Amino acid sequence: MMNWAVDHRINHGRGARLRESALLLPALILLICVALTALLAETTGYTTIGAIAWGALFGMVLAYVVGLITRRVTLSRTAAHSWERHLFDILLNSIPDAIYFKDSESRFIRTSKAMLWKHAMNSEEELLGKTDFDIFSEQHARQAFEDEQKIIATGNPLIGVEEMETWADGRITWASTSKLPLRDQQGKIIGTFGISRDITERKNAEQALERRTEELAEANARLQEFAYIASHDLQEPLRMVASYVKLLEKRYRGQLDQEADEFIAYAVDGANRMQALIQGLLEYSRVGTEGKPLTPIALEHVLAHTLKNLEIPIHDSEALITHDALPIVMGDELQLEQLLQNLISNALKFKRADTPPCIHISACLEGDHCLISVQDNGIGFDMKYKDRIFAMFQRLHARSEYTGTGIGLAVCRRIVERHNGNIWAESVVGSGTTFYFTLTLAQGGSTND
Amino acid sequence: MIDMTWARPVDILMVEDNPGDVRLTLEALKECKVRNMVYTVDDGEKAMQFLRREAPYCEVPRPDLVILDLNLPRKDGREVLEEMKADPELRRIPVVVLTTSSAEEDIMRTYDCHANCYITKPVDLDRFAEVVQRIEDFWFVIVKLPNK
Repeated sequence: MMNWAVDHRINHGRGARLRESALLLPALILLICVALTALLAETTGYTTIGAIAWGALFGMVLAYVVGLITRRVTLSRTAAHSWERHLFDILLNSIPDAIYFKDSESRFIRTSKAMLWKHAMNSEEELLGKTDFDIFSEQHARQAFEDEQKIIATGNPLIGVEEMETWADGRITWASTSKLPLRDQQGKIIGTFGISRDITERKNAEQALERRTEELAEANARLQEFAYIASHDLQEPLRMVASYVKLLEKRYRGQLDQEADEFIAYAVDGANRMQALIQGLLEYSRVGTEGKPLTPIALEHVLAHTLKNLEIPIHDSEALITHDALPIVMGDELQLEQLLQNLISNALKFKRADTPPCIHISACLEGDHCLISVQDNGIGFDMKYKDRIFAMFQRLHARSEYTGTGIGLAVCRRIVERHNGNIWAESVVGSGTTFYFTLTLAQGGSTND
Repeated sequence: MIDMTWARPVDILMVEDNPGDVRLTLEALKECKVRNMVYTVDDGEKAMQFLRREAPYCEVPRPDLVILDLNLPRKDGREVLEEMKADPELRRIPVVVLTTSSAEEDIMRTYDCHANCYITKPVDLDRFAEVVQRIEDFWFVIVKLPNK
């Protein structure tokens, strides 16, 4: 019970002292006046009684004046004090956070209203003098007690600690708690005080998000696995169909009628197309399954490699390919090569009938990203298809006009997305197309020499 | 000048569970310059029995070349490869892995097990025939194999 005294001193000490001193001073003044006049009377020869009477009168007037002044001072001090007290009470009664002051044994000495409501109490008396052991689980209270003892011993606060609270009925809530050492006016640590903010909603949202992300990642992995396995296992029976139909064709050429030849031709063509589609699907799913971690890659080298791979079609189409200096980016080398190869071979394929392809690759740096563009002077496409061209197996032309499965740009988009970038195209029919994509620059690297 | 010193027919063991593929390979091998005798088994267990000349394969010759698929029932091609290359008598026989898969991990693991070469079965019939003939050309005309 010793520390009850602490509580009283904190709350009432100042005011009490002020009131005491208010009486003391005028009384002292009166006494001094009387004593002085008595002494004066002795030395100047006035009658002592008369002198004392005058002294007392003078003293009372002086005491009254001084009393008025000190009363004024104490009133304004108590008024100020009482105003401050009022502000503090308002704070503690209205704020929704649980605020508490504890003594060195972790007993509550003052709490906010919100704290009382949190623990289903109606008045502060129910909580004062109790400890966490009376309102929380044993385990939680023990941890809190140890934390507070440590704060008292070291003076180091604990700020923003997220803790899980378990209630008697099994409910779980989350709070963000800050605990600091409580010092008296001399600076000595006599307890702790703390603020506990309810973050249950935020925590629940966080956890739901985590679970959702995990589920998504797993679903994604399954999907990739499926695509990969499907395209692999589909190849086997397809080979059987394609090969044996062709064998039929070879073995029985001329022995069957023309219609049969036609039928066989369609069957073989179908099988070949299916094969190309499966290859495309495999390529698409490999972007995910065979992707390597991103490391600094010199785009210049990747481009040089790509142009070498496309040497023959470049030569055959008499294409002119130019480029600006290209930066060092974060990427998977093989995939970047595939990206450039798909874009450039598209540019070569979709050229205008009598115009040799002119392809220019440029780079524009901005902050920690770069924008690469591949511009051609080919047939172009209607901008209303600007999203469709990136979809899987979508083509804008009949098979008889241009070859291809329609997977090239879908693969490009997947690669760019894997590199945390964006890809899009701008085109004018009959004029040409420019493909744009963004990549992250490697740290400290810009253009290489 | 290629020296055609193979007087006797070569013995090929084909380990393949797909009869369609067996037939295709046989068709292609018919066009071969070198006379050949092809034995077929359709799973890994039988392959090892054949190679070790265990029953019911007691009277078979030791093959000059093994054409091996990877995906087989009971014992798969990878295990057959490992066992062959661990056996001092069998490890000399060149193994040509001829399989559907073009996956990088399969290729790497196969070479890790010391296969002599890895070929992905072409989808196109003509290509397939071409590949089989090239196998024969390379291993029996160009390459020198040890005597049995």
